[in-house]
Amino acid sequence: RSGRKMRHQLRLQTRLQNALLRHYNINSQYKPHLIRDYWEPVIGLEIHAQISSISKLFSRVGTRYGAPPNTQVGIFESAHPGTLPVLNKRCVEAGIKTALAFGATVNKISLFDRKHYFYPDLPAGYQITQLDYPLASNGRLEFIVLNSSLHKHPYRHSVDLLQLQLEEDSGKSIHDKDNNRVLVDLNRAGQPLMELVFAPGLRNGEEAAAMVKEVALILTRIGTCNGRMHEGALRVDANISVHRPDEPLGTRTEVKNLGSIGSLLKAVDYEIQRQIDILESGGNVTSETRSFDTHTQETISMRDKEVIQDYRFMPEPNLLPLRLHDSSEPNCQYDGSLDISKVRAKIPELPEATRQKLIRDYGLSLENAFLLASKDDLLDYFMAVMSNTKRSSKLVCNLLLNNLLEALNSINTDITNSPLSASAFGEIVDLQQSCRIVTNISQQVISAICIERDSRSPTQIVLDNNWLQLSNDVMEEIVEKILADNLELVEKYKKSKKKKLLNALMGKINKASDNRANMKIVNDVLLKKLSS
Amino acid sequence: MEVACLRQGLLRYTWRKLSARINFSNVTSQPAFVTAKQERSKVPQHPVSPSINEDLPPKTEVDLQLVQRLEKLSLVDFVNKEGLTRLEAAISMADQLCVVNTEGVEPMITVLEDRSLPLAEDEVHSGDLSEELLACAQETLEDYFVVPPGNITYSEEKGYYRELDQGEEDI
Repeated sequence: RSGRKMRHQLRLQTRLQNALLRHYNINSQYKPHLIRDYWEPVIGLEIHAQISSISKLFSRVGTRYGAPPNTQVGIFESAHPGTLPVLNKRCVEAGIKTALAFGATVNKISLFDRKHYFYPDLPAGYQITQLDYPLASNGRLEFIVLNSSLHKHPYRHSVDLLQLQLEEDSGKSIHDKDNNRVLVDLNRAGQPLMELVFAPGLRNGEEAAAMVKEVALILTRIGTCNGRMHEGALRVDANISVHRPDEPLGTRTEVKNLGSIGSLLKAVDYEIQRQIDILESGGNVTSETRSFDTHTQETISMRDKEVIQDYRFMPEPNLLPLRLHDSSEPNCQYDGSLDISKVRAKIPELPEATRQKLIRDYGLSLENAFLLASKDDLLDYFMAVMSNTKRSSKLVCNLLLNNLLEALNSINTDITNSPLSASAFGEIVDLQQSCRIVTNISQQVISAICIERDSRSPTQIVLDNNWLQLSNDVMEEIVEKILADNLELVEKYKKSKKKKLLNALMGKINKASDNRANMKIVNDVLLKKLSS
Repeated sequence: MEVACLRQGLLRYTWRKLSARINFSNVTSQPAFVTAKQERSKVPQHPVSPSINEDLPPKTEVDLQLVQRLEKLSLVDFVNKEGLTRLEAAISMADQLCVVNTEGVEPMITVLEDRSLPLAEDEVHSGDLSEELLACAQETLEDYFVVPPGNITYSEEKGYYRELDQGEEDI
């Protein structure tokens, strides 16, 4: 009997998987896209995510965004002699949480190193980072490329996370070219960063953009980074090269200072094209660092074409090895500074799991699931409305994503401050679902409550304005009347059967019925009457 | 007298506690300190300069290009004959380490490698130190540190020509 149960469960599982696969329209064998059927681009991203903590990585100085220059700098960041680093517990927790969210192995022992280079915004002359023994390694990121212009349907892709390390940020330099000087603000120096080094598994700009969007969403969901690229909380460096599929990898260039998804997209595509042009004209791609100029939408060379920079890595002598233990393991010695399993327990549901739940439990489309899962407040609103399980998720999605969001946009409010509460919205959904009002009227009620700040309940508004859906008899009467009043139009249509004329008739009926008729039923009735 | 007795008692008490942990079976009941004559000191009585007879790697030649690169990376000025000889002597001395067999031994980073790093709670303890910090600088401008410019990027020149073009169009 247990065998039968197992087989039944297995059958259900495969049916579920097949349903999900159909939803995702996945081809298990993905054929890489070659440019001009010849060149294969290879892109690897390094993402620097600023950890949202109250104090900096190695000192207890504030990290608030937008503070006046040099007001959030301590004696450690400004490299005063005699200061020592003290590691921030919350930053380590954030690193562990992020690593677990990407399925990475959290290393029980990790070490810090010094990376030396001279620049005005790096007061100590070195940056404390982790090179050989990072906090975590061997993770994986799965993401979906939703609106692919190359492949006409969404597809899945995944990239390995090679390592995750904790490091400190440098200060900010403002180049004052007119006066031939540089202004340095050290507020950002010492801020905690997580560097996520991904394997070179991407092939074009839109895959890179989709990947970064997913990373930002995951980090925001688990609360370790606020994901705001325009504030510099998430920075992306892209390593780009091209090669022919059967030959070894080509020389790569690094494009830094990508401050938005749009720049990333354009920079990657431009750089691929630039390298292909060089190679096709017989030249060689030089290994260098480039930046992206947002005005010209081109990548430009940043450093001189010299010998590669030597960072003279050495172990950080002022920091002991970071030891962690996992109390969920059988032979745990409890000899670490933090317990990994305690952090694991605090990880909330990841966006991909939310999307799959929405598709499986509510039958949403992939695009709608994406939209809802990407904003927590929108998702909460949706779940509140759907707490009444009789409501149609499709209808709720339509009214929510099309009508309500548009109304809120026009009054510059977001869903958390919506004048239309989830319960009132649910009322509108119920009215429409029970065919007591039509979509147009729902829109009008939403506008009334949101834009005109009508404080009555939706039902009250509908009754007061006499907006209930017309009964079939009244509707037929109106149709007859319009047909009688527009004999010429009717004749024209009967001769040519042009859709434009039908729509004209529909428009007249709609007006005559004060927007209260269900236009689908009207269409059927009208066509029936016209064909007779 | 009483105090001395108490002190003796305390010493014996701590000694007993110690001996409970450490195995002193091979120590005979002798007074605590031993004279220098009875035990050989490990410190050599005369200066010693040992030489390693085994094969050392060949002497590293430091050429001008390497020196210039090292100077640029470390910002240490040592391009004179004395500096170079000193550098080569330092490298030869370090070469002696190659004799030691370190197979299978993890490099030591810190003497405290068996302890774990203490972590601090995420709190802000110091506030606005901008006045004191900016006072350390030679030149400041509106709370920013002023420094000379670094490399001038190619894009700057490009931008200059673009501005000229736009100027002509306006005319």
